[in-house]
Amino acid sequence: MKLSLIPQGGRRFYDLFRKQGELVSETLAELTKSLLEGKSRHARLRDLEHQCDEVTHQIHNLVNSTFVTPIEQEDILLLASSLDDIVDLAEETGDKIDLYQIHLISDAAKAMGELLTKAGGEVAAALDRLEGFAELKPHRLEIHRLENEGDRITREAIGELFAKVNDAAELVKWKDIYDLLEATMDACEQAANVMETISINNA
Amino acid sequence: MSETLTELSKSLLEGRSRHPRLRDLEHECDDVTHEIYNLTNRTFSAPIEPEDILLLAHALDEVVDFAEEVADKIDLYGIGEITDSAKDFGECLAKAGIELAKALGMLHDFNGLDPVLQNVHRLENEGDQITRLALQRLFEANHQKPADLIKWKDIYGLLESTLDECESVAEIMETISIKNA
Repeated sequence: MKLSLIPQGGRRFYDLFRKQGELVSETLAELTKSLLEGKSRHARLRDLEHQCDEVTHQIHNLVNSTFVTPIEQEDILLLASSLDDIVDLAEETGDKIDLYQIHLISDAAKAMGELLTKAGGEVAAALDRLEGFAELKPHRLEIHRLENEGDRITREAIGELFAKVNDAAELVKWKDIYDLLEATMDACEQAANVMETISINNA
Repeated sequence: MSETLTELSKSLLEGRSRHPRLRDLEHECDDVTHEIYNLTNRTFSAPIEPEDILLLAHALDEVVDFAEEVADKIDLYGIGEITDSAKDFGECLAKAGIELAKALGMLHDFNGLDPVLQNVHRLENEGDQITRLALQRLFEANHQKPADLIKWKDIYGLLESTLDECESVAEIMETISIKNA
């Protein structure tokens, strides 16, 4: 009998993470489109969020039923939940744009959206090549760079918000939206950090 | 933890703060968390992995800290009348507290844990719906004073954080039960 180093169950983990990466990327692209067009695509975002929940659930079940996992069990669960967080936060941002009835999207929010789309692409690319962990680094560095750029954008945006906007409701709504956009980007960085830890543990 | 959430819910329903009692409970919880940390340090072979024990103790402590902060802010902001949404949310939190206490009682053999934790997830979804509606109402009422907007936005955020932390506790217990299956 030939023994494979990565049993069938192992391959399945990488497939599920690849799927989750695609969902992250698609979700962030949808969010950005809705920011650029100034109309919410929340229904689609909610649909993607449910799909991501489903994949996360499948990963949990697979961990439960697999005796030897290719990555440590808790690292698998951590990665799945950090990816799930990105999608949750993006969905919440879309939801708040609807809920707050925001029709005119600020330039800063649009710029932040474009950075998030790029970060989503990087997360997906990293997950596509998770097996072997060799090609993770450039994606991780790019995500950190995008996160720094995002910080600068939200910082300026919040400064301008408090300098120029006098309507209390507008202030509170936009402060919340910028915080959510920033939290979504932070979640991308967090996922990159988890991947980094996994690659160190598996070096 | 369950007692703290029940106290918070009562204070919301009665519209008066029980903050001193909540602060007492928070301190009690700090002591227990500390005791767990010490016990983990001294015990050579703990029944559950030490890092999971610490993670769980910390998350439970967070639930209580957030709940105490909600009550503190209600006092600090001089909030007189509690909204229906906040009362509903308080009841949701009290239920989540009861479920978590039940789940913690099952940690020794993990028997029957899953449905209890599912209830916590369900309650968290319920809470999200309540906050959504609450924020809608908050911004619809154009006559709101700016200070009231900011105060209530903060309180709803804290209530949501308290419930999110309950869900984190549930997730940590799920991980522990998977590892010990």
